[in-house]
Amino acid sequence: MIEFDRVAKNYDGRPIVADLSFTVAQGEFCALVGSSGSGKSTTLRMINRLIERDGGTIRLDGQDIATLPLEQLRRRIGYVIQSAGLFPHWTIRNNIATVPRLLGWPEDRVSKRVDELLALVRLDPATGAKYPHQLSGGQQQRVGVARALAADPSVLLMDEPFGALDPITRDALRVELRAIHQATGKTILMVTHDIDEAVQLADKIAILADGKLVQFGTPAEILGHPANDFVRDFIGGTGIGLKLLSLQRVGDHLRPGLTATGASIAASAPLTEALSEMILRHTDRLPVCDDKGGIAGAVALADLVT
Amino acid sequence: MSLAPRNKVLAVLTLAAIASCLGAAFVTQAPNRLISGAPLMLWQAADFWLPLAMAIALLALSYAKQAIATLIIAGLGFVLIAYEAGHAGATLMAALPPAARIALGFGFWGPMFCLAMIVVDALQRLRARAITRLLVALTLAAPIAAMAWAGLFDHLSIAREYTSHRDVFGIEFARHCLLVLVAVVLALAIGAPLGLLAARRAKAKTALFSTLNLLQTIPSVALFGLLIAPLSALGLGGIGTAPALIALVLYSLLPVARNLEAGLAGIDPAVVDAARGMGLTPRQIFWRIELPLGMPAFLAGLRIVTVQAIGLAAVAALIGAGGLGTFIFQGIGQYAIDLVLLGAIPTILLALAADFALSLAAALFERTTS
Repeated sequence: MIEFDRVAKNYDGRPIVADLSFTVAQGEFCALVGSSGSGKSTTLRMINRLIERDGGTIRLDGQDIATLPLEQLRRRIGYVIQSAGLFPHWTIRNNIATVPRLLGWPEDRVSKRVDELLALVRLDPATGAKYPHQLSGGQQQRVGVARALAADPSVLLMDEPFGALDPITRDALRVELRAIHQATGKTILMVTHDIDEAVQLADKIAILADGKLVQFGTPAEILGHPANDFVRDFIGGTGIGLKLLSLQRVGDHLRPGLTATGASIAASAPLTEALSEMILRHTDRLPVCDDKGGIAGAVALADLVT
Repeated sequence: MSLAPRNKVLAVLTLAAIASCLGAAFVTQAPNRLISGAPLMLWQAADFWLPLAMAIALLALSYAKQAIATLIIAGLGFVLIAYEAGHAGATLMAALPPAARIALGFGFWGPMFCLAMIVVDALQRLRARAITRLLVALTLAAPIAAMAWAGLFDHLSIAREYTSHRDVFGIEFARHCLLVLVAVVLALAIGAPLGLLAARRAKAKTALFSTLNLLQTIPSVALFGLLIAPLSALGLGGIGTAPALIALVLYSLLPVARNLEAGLAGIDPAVVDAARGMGLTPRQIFWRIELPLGMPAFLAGLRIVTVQAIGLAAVAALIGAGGLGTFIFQGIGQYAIDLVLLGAIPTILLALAADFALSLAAALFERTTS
């Protein structure tokens, strides 16, 4: 759990972050979004005290971070940055083992943990012996995530982790990050400027503008009830309807008795996918299949707007 | 088949080798050590078949397709010319009074230099690893050392200079090495913290590097001179080892400090940010991350400094610091060129050896860390 309580930060007398209060609950995935200069990175870096705040309190699992020794605090927090920041002169295994070794784990436990993490981020065990420059950008960021999770921290901080990757790699890693979040139950705070990424991944979104929190809520709350014009513009203006649709699953609008022809769509697919299919096929209904592949009913165009 | 040379560097070096071999005196013959000698060309001094064979081999070099063939021919030529020089000295001296001198001429040094460069070029084309280069250097040095050991060169003027200075040569050589070693160690001890300071504080960096740059522009002889007055005033003695050491250290500070700073500045800031974020202490970040990553640049600086110090230490003999420069300045004073060479050639070989050893160390370091 991460609690911000009236946190402030100034640079040269100019407020970068002001009166910031919000709470990321245990196990929650929170996205911190805003345009550049909104103070989102500063906010993130105040948690592991790479930047020291000027006012207010930040609590990590109920403990004021100011009371913890600096290095000890940081070793309790997973930290992932945009370009991965792997140590170029260390093998992948040694990179992942960084924090466990700092914490003095015995070598056999470190080695076992590294094996687990390579599997978790879906890297071939042989990759462990390689050096960072031998890996693609996407693979490097997988290692970055594995390294951050190595000592099993309760909290993961991610600063635009997918910002430097190509769109295909980025989409694949987002899907995997969701899976990792579900599998590990970590509290994640991720900085991004991409509202779609936030909607796709996060349980909660915090929107920052000029160092102030303008809205904090679930993706549905923010898309459904933007707090003001700034938020409405930021989350995409005329595209909001489609984003809201993307939050819902086909299964949510399934009509069991209804029949339809053509290829079926999975109940777990987002509704935007159903809409897209209907437009492509010039139809107003699609058959829906459940996880086992059996036809469960159909979804109708009219139901998408209710 | 085109007659155009495949490798322009090789062609130029081969032509230069042939030209100096045939156009300049291979050895000079003088009645005593103080008079400049009469030139003797290669064919006058040596057996006839040998120069011819060498000329042909050298010509073949420019067309050797394989760098390895070039390497072997040039290496053989190198050893052969050395042998021929020793042989010529012995043959000529047999008919001359003991005071006479047979000195090596440009017709010897020219081709030797060109052939050495051809070997270096061939190694470069072969992309030889450091260890291969070391083996080649040893293979070339071994037969020449064996010939020297067997006394083949004893009749050449430079060897006779060595014989008459044998008692002091070892001392001056050791002194030269010691001077360089102490200067480099001191330069590291002072320059590394300065480089670190420059890397950490932008303001200090500007001031420091402009001061050190200024120092670097002072000619060495002038710096030795400038140190005399203040050191005498301090009672340290204006001449001798102290001012030599101070000057060598001062000249070494810039390369040491600047290369360390450049090495540290070249590290991706994201790497250091990640290290801090994961909870490495500043000390751990320096020793485990920054220093290893900045080490190649730092080693390059160490290499520059060592080679530079070996050369400058020769000049330090001017102010009585001893070393191989002693022979150079004595030789100049006595107009005895071979005595100059007795100081100059070991200095050059020492510099080459140090450069080689440190590049080997850098290569080994890179292999173990990346």
